[in-house]
Amino acid sequence: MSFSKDEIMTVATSRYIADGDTVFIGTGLPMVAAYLAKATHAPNVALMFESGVLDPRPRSIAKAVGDPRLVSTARRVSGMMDSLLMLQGGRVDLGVLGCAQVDRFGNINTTAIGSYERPSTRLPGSGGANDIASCAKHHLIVTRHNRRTFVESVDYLTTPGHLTGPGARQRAGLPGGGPIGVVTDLGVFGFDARTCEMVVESVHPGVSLDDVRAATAFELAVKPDLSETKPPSDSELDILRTRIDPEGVYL
Amino acid sequence: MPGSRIPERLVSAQEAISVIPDGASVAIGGHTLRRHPMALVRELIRQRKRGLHLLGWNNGIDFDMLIGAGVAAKIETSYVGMGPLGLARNLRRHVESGAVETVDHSETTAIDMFRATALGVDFLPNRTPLGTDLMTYNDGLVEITSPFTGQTYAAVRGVEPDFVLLHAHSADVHGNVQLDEANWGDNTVDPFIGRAGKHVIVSVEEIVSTEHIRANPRRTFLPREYVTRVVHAPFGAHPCCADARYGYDQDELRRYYEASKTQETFEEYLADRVTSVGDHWEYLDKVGVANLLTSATHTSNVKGADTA
Repeated sequence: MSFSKDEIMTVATSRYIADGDTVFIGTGLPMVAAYLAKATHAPNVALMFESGVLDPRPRSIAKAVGDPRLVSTARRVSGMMDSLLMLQGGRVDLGVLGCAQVDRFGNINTTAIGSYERPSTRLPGSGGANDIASCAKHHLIVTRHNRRTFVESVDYLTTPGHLTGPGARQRAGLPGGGPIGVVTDLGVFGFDARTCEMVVESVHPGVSLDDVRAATAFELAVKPDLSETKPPSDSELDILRTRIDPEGVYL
Repeated sequence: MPGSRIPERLVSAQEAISVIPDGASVAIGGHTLRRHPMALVRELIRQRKRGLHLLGWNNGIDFDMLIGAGVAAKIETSYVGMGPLGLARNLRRHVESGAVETVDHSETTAIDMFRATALGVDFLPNRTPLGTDLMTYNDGLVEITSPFTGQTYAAVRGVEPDFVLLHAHSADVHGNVQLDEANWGDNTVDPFIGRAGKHVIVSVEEIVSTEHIRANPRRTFLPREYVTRVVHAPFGAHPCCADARYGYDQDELRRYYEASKTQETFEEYLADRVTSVGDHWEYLDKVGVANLLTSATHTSNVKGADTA
């Protein structure tokens, strides 16, 4: 079956979600990916929404994606203070974030393009993104891939990746482990264990390494065993299209 | 009780807002497009307040409208955006031109500004902003060392806003403020904001008796000890939603968002919806009973709006 860019990004994202994890999740593509993981390889994943809903077991997945009041089957329903406490107390295994700019260490800017005081584009700011990236055991970055986004250095460091490299998070005093991967419409990226710099792990079908380099404003390392991203299976696509997002609201 | 000395604090929105001087610090409750005290926000604009320092933890149309109306000189929060609609356009215009100063936070450091004061201390330790530019540009975040373990923390400076504006479901005339049991969880932050201000003005959907408050004491989220003024403002969060009481008015949010594209069209919006309207009651007439009562049941026309 052919698939869209959003669909391969969703499937690649879902593969980072392990069974039994507690995952802090926003709306949009990451939420769809989390429900896909739950419907496939990670039935026991506990989704934590910022609103305080923990681990809902919706009868209908499609309904769950569109309805914020997933309270009837949740393990706990609380509020924002409580979901942020779970983050700060280190009880969240994985967070998923978007970005406007990202650098080779996975540092994210969602505050201002250009100078901080007189930006060329003022963005919304951190919201909960900094809190997630600082405190979750690990986080994943999901974004479209182009040279405006993948920059040599971020104009404003809103949300910490690996900061300046090995050991920098720990020296700064950050509790969480930092980014473990980046999923884009071109490929899947990891972070080198020695340098903490972004490396190409796989390119999506039909995408070349040159395409990725052309869309990235910093030098990208490449994994020696670079592969092609495993395409979405027919059954994954079927679940996405018929059960999770049948009206195409999110993808 | 004859000769009761418990003061009555119910006033009109005009009276409650009239005491706020230009240049005051004003904290605003609610979350993105949820339960912001919009009737009070519109009254700030009607009374042509200037130079306000706005504080919040996660803001949307409340800050954007005040910025576009020239009311705000400085904003301090973790987020200003229009949720699923997109970027806050008045924020963009006025920050990019240098007209409005920004102080940025993470969500938890923004909350800790208020939580510190509510706890009676002048700072709280927090780890989230360490190593980021939140520390570089916000002098209310300063690196400190734990006297117990040597661990590095950011000290988040507590704030005591001159005024706090909140919207809630009900209150008595003395300022005992309640939320329905059916609420959406964002209101676990408002109680901290309400406990941090010098003067706390709460608009509510309905005024109830103190007997009603006492019959449902678990719903009281801000007792009168914290509250200086109560304002009766049904649909006072419109066009934001107010938990289970009413949903977003998506047509109105869209109209606002389209109008905010340019300063000129935004001023036309303000003239139509705010400054040409005498007060909140006239605003409700303008929106119309049928619109108010049915907007929540309209099918979503904003992508992803249901989960905002």
